[in-house]
Parts: sequence; structure tokens; C-alpha cells
Amino acid sequence: MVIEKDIIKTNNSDLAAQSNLTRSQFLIWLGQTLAPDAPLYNMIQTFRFEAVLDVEAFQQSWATLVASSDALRTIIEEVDGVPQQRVLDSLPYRLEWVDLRGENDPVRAYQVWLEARRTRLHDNGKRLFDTALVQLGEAHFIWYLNQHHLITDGWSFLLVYRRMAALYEQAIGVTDASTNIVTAMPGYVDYVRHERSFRESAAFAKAEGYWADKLATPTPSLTFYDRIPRTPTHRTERMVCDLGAERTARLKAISGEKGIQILNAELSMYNVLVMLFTAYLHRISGSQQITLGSPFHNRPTPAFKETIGVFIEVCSLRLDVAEDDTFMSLLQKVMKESLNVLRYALPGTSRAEYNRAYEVLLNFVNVTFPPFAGMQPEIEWVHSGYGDRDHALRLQIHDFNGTGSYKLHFDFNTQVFTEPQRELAIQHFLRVVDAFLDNREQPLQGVGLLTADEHIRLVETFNQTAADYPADKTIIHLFEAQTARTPEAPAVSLGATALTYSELNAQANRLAHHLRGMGIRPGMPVALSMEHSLEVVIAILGVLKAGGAYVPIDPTYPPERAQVILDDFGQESIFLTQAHLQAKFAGLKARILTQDSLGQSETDDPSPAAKPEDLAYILYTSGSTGKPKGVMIEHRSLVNYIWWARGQYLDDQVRDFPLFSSLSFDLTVTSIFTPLITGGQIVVYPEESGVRGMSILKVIEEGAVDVIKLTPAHLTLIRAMDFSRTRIKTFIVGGEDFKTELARSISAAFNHQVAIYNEYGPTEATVGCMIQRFDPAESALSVPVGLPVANAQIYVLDAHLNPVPTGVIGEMYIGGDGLARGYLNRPDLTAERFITNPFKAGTRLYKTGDLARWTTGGKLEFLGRADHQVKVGGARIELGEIESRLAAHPQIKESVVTVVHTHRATPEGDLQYCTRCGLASNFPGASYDDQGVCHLCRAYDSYKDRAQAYFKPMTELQALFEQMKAGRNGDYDCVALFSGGKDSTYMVAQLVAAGLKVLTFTLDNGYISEQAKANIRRVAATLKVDHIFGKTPAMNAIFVDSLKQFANVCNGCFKTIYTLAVNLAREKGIRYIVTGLSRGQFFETRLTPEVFQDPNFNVEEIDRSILAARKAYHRRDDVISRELDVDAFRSDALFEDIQFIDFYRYCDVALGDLYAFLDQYVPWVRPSDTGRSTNCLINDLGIYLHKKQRGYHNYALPYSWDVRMGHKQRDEALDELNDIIDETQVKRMMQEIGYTEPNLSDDPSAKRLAAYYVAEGSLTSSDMRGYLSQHLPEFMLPSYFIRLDSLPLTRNGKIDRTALPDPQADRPELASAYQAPETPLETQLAVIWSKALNLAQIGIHDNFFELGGSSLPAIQVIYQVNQRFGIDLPVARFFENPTISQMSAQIEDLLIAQVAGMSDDDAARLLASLQ
Amino acid sequence: MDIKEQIKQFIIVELAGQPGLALGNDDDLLLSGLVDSLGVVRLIGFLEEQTGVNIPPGEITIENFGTVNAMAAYLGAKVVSG
Repeated sequence: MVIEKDIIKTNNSDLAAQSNLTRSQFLIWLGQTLAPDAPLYNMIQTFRFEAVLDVEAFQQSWATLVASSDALRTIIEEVDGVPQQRVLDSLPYRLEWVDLRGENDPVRAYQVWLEARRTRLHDNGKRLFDTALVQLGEAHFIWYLNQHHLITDGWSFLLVYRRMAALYEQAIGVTDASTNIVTAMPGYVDYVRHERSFRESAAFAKAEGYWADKLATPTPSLTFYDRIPRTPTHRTERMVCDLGAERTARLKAISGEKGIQILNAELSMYNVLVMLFTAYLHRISGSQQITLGSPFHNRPTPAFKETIGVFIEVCSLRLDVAEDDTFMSLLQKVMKESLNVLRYALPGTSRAEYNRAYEVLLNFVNVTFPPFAGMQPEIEWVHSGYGDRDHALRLQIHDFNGTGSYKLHFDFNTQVFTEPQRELAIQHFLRVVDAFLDNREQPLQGVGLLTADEHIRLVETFNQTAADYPADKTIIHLFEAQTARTPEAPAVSLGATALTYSELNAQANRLAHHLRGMGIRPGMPVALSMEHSLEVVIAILGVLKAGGAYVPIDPTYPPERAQVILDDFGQESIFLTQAHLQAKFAGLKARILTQDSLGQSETDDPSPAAKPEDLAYILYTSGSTGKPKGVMIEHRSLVNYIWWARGQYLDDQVRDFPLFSSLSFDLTVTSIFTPLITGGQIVVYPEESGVRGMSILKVIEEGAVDVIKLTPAHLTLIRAMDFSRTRIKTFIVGGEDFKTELARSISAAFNHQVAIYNEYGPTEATVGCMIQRFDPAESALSVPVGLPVANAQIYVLDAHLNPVPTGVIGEMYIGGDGLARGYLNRPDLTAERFITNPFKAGTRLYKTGDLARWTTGGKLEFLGRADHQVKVGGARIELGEIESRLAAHPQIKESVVTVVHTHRATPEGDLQYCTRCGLASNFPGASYDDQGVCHLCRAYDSYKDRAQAYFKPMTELQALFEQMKAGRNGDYDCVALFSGGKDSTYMVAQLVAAGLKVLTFTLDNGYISEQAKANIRRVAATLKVDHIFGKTPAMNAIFVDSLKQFANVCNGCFKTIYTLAVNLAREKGIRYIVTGLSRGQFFETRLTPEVFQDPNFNVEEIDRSILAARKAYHRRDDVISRELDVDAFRSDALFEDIQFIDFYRYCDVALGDLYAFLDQYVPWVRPSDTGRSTNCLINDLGIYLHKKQRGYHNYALPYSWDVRMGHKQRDEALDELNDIIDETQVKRMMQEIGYTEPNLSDDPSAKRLAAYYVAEGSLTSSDMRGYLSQHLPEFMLPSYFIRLDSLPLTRNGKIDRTALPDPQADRPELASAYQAPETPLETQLAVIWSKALNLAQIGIHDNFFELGGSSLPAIQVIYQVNQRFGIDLPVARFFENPTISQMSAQIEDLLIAQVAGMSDDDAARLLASLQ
Repeated sequence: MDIKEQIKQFIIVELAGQPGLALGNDDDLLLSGLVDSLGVVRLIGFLEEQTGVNIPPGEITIENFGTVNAMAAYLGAKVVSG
């Protein structure tokens, strides 16, 4: 793409000036030159005669036609690189007669013939047409005519046909032979001359000015069905559709009406067609500016009307579609625009740069073919299957056969329109046509595009979710019924204390009676601000039993925010809390109540007060106006959800759930009520020091629950944990976009023995309204949201509440029994978000603000928020709420809050490198001793000698060789995996020298460098070994999968090599596969430090575990297992039948000796075209992505091992790792393999809030943070405060969020002065912090939260610190004193305590390890 | 030569290419197919050059350009109104 544009830019004007081609011809020539192998410009027509033709006369007629038409005798030659056309004096050509009468099925035979013939390329220098007469029966002929666009256009079709008909009539004697048809034919050369001289005219200059002005500003690209094309392609598919006689006649009638008819019938119809196409494009793309190309044939004089040749100019029409346009108002715009265009569509005005202004083209060919010698052939315009790759869609409309029904040819670019989408697209266009015919005054936005089938599928069938549930019961009825069934079963526990169902019920009753005594009546709100405890569960049930609605307020929220909520109740209300929190909330205007102050009350079930239509709870969510809004949920909605959840997740089993997430998020509702109505247990995990989320680590560690409801951010935290002791069976994931990659890694960690559900639903629709179980084979980037839950309806609608057709982005609307009553005291907002359901009378819809679209597979794809509501760390946040809080600060003049994505990469200049091996400090877990030696080198020192036991002497390998030879049962002893690198080359040479019959195998992944391939061939030839380049059509899919899973391409290739090699060995009956893995690679992958921690280190054990790992590796579910033949791996026998031998486990050759050997015996050359010592070009893509996503080089570890093994010098390794990756090449390769780089937002833990503000006077980040934390919960506090002189604005005067600067990785302006880390421990902590916070510089007294930290990165820091130092630093202590200096002191205390109980030696060792 | 004659000459010679053609001032030019849309465009270019009048696209209608008389009347009005 880029290259093409450059050619056009640099050469176009020069070449065009020197060439004798017309401008249009030149553009066609250029297009063809840039795509020499694609028959883009084959203009093919076939004429089917159900009649007898005189073949001889036909051939003779064609010869006469060619002799008399200069266009048909034109060839294009390149003279000094400049295309020049020349008319040959004669072009002897005998029209080919293809006789298919002898075929069994002549029609089928013709189709096969045509299929091959239509893509035949023209040889510009020889002839620009190809024609044949195909005979299928005695009276059945097809005249095939293929002309290059360089010599023909739509009108020319007709001219050639008419001439041919006239000549044929003469040839068969129907007409008088004396009429000289031939001399009456004007020549194309006249037009060429005309066009050249016209280009000098004033009229032309004026037209040029018009086009330059008009196209100076490009219109934004259209997104067809909201799909961005992956790779432009020349491949197009033509789909033909008959408009039908009735529609055609009605369109003709309308276009003849007054006010629509303009100048002539053709132009009037053209305008109507342009309008319809524009309306369609507008509706499927949402674009308001539509630019479309259209060819105009310039035959201004009667003589030119008779001239065969290319006369078209392709010009752009540009239309602005307004939100309230009707068909007729758009038509008025089209009429005006087409006149403008027509006026300036003059000869020679086409330009390559103008052609790029449009991606769609409309071609109305108003030509009807007359009879041919009294016969009426059936004419077909045959598509070559190729088109200009900048064209996403071409619509060609014609009625060549004069049937009275227009034929629509949709030429779809296959990269832009998926196959199912093509079918639908045509249907959607017809819906637009019908809507116009039905009522041309209707607004375009009101046109329903869905086909009848789509409507039934997407609106009706999808939403058939009716299911029974106890709609006449409250959640309390269900709980009391459960208590009656299992009174003695544990209902809730915290550590060693637990309550049975009957105990829990009794305590809840006690509170309920008390609350009734205080005046609580059905539906009255009771605030509840308590930490996770047994009491909180009692409190929730107590409030509900009293008939009230519980309103959870997170105890970590500032009292100011609690007061805002209490004020919303409109009366002095009850605030239930715990004794130790009383002081914090003492200032609230409320009746504060704690459970230990209740005194004696009854413990019997109180009489039921609440009814299903009464409120069960009110949850406050962030509100854009600065005030949180209370979502009111009724019992019926809660019961509907929980009843469904019970069936969906529990399958009639009794399951235990943890209570660890905040009660103020509705996802926690699942964890409380689902167990309590089914006899399960709630295991309570207190939040440590109010840190949301951290307790998930405890939940996993303890492994005491079966089902966990959590957010993707939680999953990110636990993905690296050990799940071996867990009894978890089910994860229910909600609250945020759930990436497939995350789901896959969790699933894999459980060996896929875990059910993972993605549950979607806003608070306003009661927890969850859509559900999808994760399928490890899922290929979409995000786990789909699936199907509606019981009694829920989901619609994807446009702004006018039309259901959007498949592929188009719309907003999600939810209906059904889960809908909230509305927002407390916010009738305006309630009316805005809860609207009348147009699909189900008497019900409402909730407008979610979430964007989604239907995939052609009939699934719903979730696409994020439509407004400025965001999700950070699973919490829903209205940015406006933070902004209005900022605006209330007296010094702040303006502010805007956005979500930013932190990058993981550390600036390279700040890295430390191991003084021995060069390992960089951005490698995970890297640490260095006082000599700057890395932890891996140190560890290697300690087990190097013991590791020698893994290696075996060459004599053992020689014995194996003999065994191989003796057991050979085919042509070969072994398959040698031959990458072409130095190690495998040496290995193959040694195998050959040992007298083995070797079959060498190399994976050709499509990106092996040419030099490397030449090397491989040379080596194989020199050593006289057979060689196979293995390939797989799934290679690109494997690359993509590997990039997604490992952020490199190598893992995918390795597995492909093993898989293909094993299959090759099986096929050839070979029992051994020899690998050239280097010793460094053994240490990197197998002989890791952990292996040697076991004092009873044992080689057999390693071999066993390697075999087990190999089995698991090949049985894993991934792209390879789906795309390649992996049946053999399912059987254990395979791993006995085929053995892997690692050559370098036996052979220990010094690097110098290896090179010396290669120099002397094998013509091996180090590749110079890959930039490093590998053979593979796509490697760069992996490196680029790995550095970007994982923050370090994927070769860092392997190269460090090469250095440790003495196979590379440190400097050499550093030099190779310091590679400059050509991003253009990387992006090109991404396109080639079909990989879309994920947005950095894929990592939920990388999302941060950033506040930009304009202020007066001094205002530090600490000040801002302190101010906001008085009013907002912690999760709403921005991580970055960026002060600007003014906020960037868009042209419309709105704040331009895209133009805000990225938060700098500098230390923000804080109240504390910067003090650099001094001790080694402080330095290590600073490294950990800076990674978590994405800051380059951190002072030891800087407050973690003032630096922008939030609980997620805090948890990561503590987790890493505890891992690194083998301690258990309590989270609470960190939160009390979140500075490096404090943390370092705490760690030292803990370590000293540990050391106290150790022997002197152990203590010394421990302390040394920390330095 | 008055404007009507000039228009007729242009149509007969340049657009229709039939020098002997008889063309009436009220003959329907467009609906008869005698002049195609591009022909109108060329004719407009010719008229602009001849008369110095600027013809905006919105005024290129059948009413104004359907016959020789219509064109003459349209141009006359343009010249008067300036």
C-alpha cells in the first residue's frame, strides 16, 4: 500500500506527461502495473445464443472487426519505462472455436473452461483482447469476449457487439455486402489527440481547479458494517441480484416525475440510484460524509459515440448526509452534486490521487443490446474475481438484455465483507430500495434494515427466554424455606466461627424485629456500612426481613459520600455499622445502629412484610452529574436472577461461595443469595485494611469454596497462582470486558477442568442479564456475552430504536423482569434511561450505554461504552462525577478526566545489565549482587556441577546410533530437525559422519530468510542428505495464536516443528527424531534452578517429567491441535514408538571447534539478512510485541544462557538484543498473518484514571488527591494529575480528549521532597514500584497512592515483595505507611525475626541473597 | 448571430454532428435524446464563454435547458438580473 502510493507520487506526473496514453488509460495501466498478477481489468462479456451460428462467418467477422478497429489493434509498450500505445497495422487473430459438444456435460465443461479463462492475463505488448466462440450444442453457442479495460468501457461493449452483429450479418449474407461498415468507424486515436489538446484548454484548467478544491480534504474512511479491512486485497466476489421488474418499473416511474426528473431519463435514474446507494452506505457505516466514485463516459460528439475505446473518467461524488435527511432531501443533494460532477467530469480529469478519495463505486451502465442477426443472445457481464484493492464495494447496475429488470452486481472486496455479510448486505440494500418505494418522504434513519429472517432471529428467537421462577415470593421466603430444609447446615463462616442456617435466621430475625420497632416498613431504605463479617450477612437478611431495602455503603468511602447517599433517602434514616467504625461515621446525620447494641429481641421469623414488588436493595453507582445515583431493585427482579443463577451455576449441587468483593458492587449479590437459597455456605474473607480485591488471593490460597464470582481484574491478579489445592469448579466473571486470552490462561491452569462464565449485566438489570460459558476454542478477542438469561430481552438498536442489522454497531437495550424500578429521586434520569419497549407492549427497556453488534454467526459482540462512563478495576465510573468534583475546587478552573493505559516498558537507559551474562533488569525477577551479577548466574554457579549429571557421554550416543541402524525399517534412521543454524548444521554433519541415513526437516514458516534457505539447501546437498521443507496452511493462524499466548512467534513454530516432524516420522516409519537444542536451551527450559533445589536431584526424574510435559504439551488445546493432525499424540504409545534424542545432551563441543569444523567441511554462512543469528524474519514481529506487551526482550533469557554456556560473548548478546526493529515491516507482517494488535486496554490492571486540570496558584498532586479523597471512594481517585495551561479543544469547541498529553513517566509534583533510594533493599523496592506505577523515578518518602497507585498495583507490589523475600508482609501495614522507606523497614523487621530462628550459616545465606 | 442561432448551431454541429438537421426552437432537446447530459454540460460551457454569464448547477434544469427557447429566455433573464 505504502509502496504503491510512493510510486504514484513520484512517477505519476512525469510518466503521464511523457506517455501517449489518455489519463484514464494511464491510470488503468498504472493499476495493472502495480498488480501484474491480478486480472483486475479483464472486462468480460459472454453472449449466449440458443441458435445455430456459422462459426466460420463468426471468425471472419471478428477478423474484419479487428482489422477495422484501431482500439482492438492497440498494444501498450513500455519505452524507457514509459507506457506508449501503438496501433498495429495488422493483428492476425483467429477467434478460437471451442467445441464442447463431445463433453458429457457441456454446460459444466463450459463453466470449468470459463472459470480458468476469465482470469487469463493480457499481454499488453501483444494483444489486449481474448475471445472465443464456445459451442455447447448444435444450436447452443457462447461468444466469450474479454477485453482489457485499456481499450474498452461500458459503452464500447455495445459498439463492439453492434459492429460484430453487422459484420456477421454481412458474412452470412443477410445484409448487402457492399455497405461499407468498416470505413464508417472513427478511430480512438482521434480521441487521444482530442484529450491531449483539451488538456491545454481553459475549461480543463477550471475543471482541474474544481477537483483539486473538492478533494483537498479527504473524507474519513467508511467502516462497512463497522469492520475495518484487515489487509486490502484484489480479490473480489461478485454477487448478482435481480432488482425485479416491479421495483425497476417503479423506480423508472418515480425518476420521471416532476421535481425528480432532470435533463434526461438516464441522469434522473442515475440520481435515484446514487441516492439509494448513499442512503444504504450511510446506514451501514454510520458515516455522514459519503464519497463515491462513478465512471462517466465522455463521448461528446456523435463520432466519439461510435468509437470503440476507453472514454470514461471516474469521478467522485461527495454527499453530506444529515441526521434528519429523508430520501427526498438526500435526492435533492444528489441531483445538485451530480450536475456539478458531470460538469467537471471532462476528458483527462481523472487522477490517481482523486481515485483514492473513494472506496465505493457506483456504475450505472444504461445500455441495452439490440438483436444480433435476428437472434437475441443472453448477455452476461462476467467478473474476473479481481478488482482494485482500494475498492471495498462496487455496485454495477445494468439491463443489457432489456428485460425491464435491473441487474445489480455487487463486487465485494473479500477482505472487507465476510462471506455471510455479503448475502446480508444485498438484502439490506433491497430494504432501503423498498423503503424508498414505500414512502420516499420518510427519514433515512427510520428505515428498518433487518431482513425478515434477521428480525425473527435477532429480535424474537434470541429473546425467547421465558422461564418459570417463584415470582410471587421474596428472597426472604426462599431463604426461610431453605432454613427449614437445612437448619443445621453451615450458612456462613469466617475463619473458625460459623453460623448454621437456623442460627443465621435467628440472628437476622432479632435485627428485623428491632428494625420494625424503629419504624422500618416495606421498601424503606436502610444504610449498611460494614466490613466483611458474619454480621454483615445477618444485617442484610435482617433488613430484608424487616421489609426494608438494604443500601450498602462501602465502609472505606469518605463519610461525605455516605452523607450524600443518606440525604437521598429524604428522611433521617438508619445507618447500620460496626462498633469499630462508629467513630468514623459519628458525624453523619442518621440514626447510627450497631448489632451489639440491640439488646434482647425476638428470634422468631417476623411476619412477612415485603411483597415481590417491594424494594430489596438500592445500589449507588457513579453518576455523571457529580452525585451518585441509587438503582432500586425489587424482590421480584432479585428472585428472578438468583433463581436463574441457581439453575445456571449450581446444577442442583450445594456449593460454597466466598464473600470477598465489595457489597456496593452488584456482582457480590450473586455470592450472597445464591448459596443462601440452596443450602450452600458463604465463606467470608475480610478485606484487609479496606483494600478491595486483595482478599481474592486468600480465597484461592485457602481453596475452601466451589464457585467464585469476580471481575477480570481479579483474575489477572490470580492468574499466576497455584491452583493445585483448590476445589474451585466455577468462575463467574462479570463487571468488565473479559479478554479471551485471560480466560484461556485460567482455563489452562486448571487443565480445562473448570467452568468459566462471562456474565454481563448492568446494575440496572439486576446483576446479570447475559451469559456465556467460555469455550477454550474461542477465537474472538473478548469472551462473547452470549445469550440472555431467563426472562431477559436484549436488543441492539440504533439511535432511532431500529434494530441494527448484523454487523452494524448499535446500543444495547435490556428488557425483562430484571429491570430496576429506576433511580431513587431521579425521575428525569429514570425516564431517560428506562424507556417504553417498542417490541413488547406495556414493558420497559433499559438503555445501557454499551455498544454491541451482531456477528454473522448470530452472536452478540460487546464493544465498550458509548458515553464517558468507564470501567476501571471492575468499578463503573462516570468521569463526569470526578470532573464535577474537581470543578467544585476553588482553585480549579477547568478539568477533564480520562482513562489512560499505562505502558509496561521501562526506558532502556535506566536498565541494569548483569556484568557476566548481560541479563537486563527488566527481565521479570531479575536481581543483582554487589558485583552486578544476576540471580540466574549466581544460581547457576551453585548447581552447575550437579547439573553435569544430566549430560551423557558421546559413547552413549554412538551406541544409540547403532541401535537406530539396526532397527531401521524404511529409508531412514532418523529425522533431524534442521533449522539451518550453526548448531543444527553441525549436528546433521555429525549424524552423517556417523553413517546414519538422515532425513533433514526444516519448517518453512514463510519467513525464512533467502540466505538461510540457500544455506539449508547447500548443506543438504553437500552432505548428500534428503531434505524436506515442511509447511502448513495454518501457519499464519499459528503465529497469531502464539503471539496472543506468548507474545512471540517462536513458541508456535517450535510446536509446529515437533508436530510436523512426528507426523513425518510416522509416515516414513522412522523411530527417532534428533534435535539440535543447545545446552543453553536445556538450562533455559528444563534444568531450571527449582530442579536442583531438591537435594535428591535425579536425572531419571527429570527425564520422566520432561516426557510428561511433552505429552501434555502436545495434547494441549490450541490452534495447532485444531489445525494440524495431532491424532497420534493422543496415544501414549506414540511417545514410545518415536523417541526424541537431544544431540547436545551427548555432544559437548566448544564454540571455536564448532565453527572451525563448519568452516572446513560444510559451506555454512551466517545469515546477514535477518539482523541476528536466527534465520527467521518474522522473529522481529515477536520481539517487537514481546517488548511492548511484556516489557522485555524475549531473547533475554536464551541469550543469557548462550553467554553462560560460552556460546556467545556478553557484548555480542547485548548488541544483538539492542536491535532496532523496523516497525513498518512489523506492521506489514501483522497484516500478512492477520494479527490485530490488541489495545493496551486488554490488561485491565493497566487502566488508570488521569485528571487534567487548569488551576490558579499552587496546587500539588498531593493536594488534589487529598481534596478528592474527602468526597470520592478510593477507586474513583485519579492516578495522575496533570496540570495544563489550557485544555485542548476540538473544532466544535468541545474538549478534545484525544489531544490530551500522555501522563509522563516522571515523578508527579508531590508535597514530599524527592529522596533517592540508598540501600540495596530500597533500590530493589524502587524497581518493583516503578514497574507497578510505570514511573521512572520514585523517592523513598513518596506515598504510593499519591504517586498514582491504586489497590490493584498495590496488591501486585505486595505480592512481588512477598515472593521475592519469602515473607508475608501484611497488606494492612503497607496501606498504613505506603512509602519505600517504611516498607523497607517493615521487610527488615520481618527478615530479622526470621533470621533469629536460624543457624548462622542459613542466616548468612539468606542475608546474602537479599543484597 | 443571435443567441438562439448560436445554440442551434452548437447543437447541430458539435453535439448532434448532423449539419443538415432541422431544429425548431421549441423542439424537446433532452427528452428526445438529441442531447445527452454531457452534451448539456458542454453546451453550458459554450454559453458561459459566449455570454459571460455564470450558470450555477442548481439552475441546470429541464425548464431552463429543455428547448432552445427556454435557454434563450433563461439567459435573457440572467443578463437582465445581472
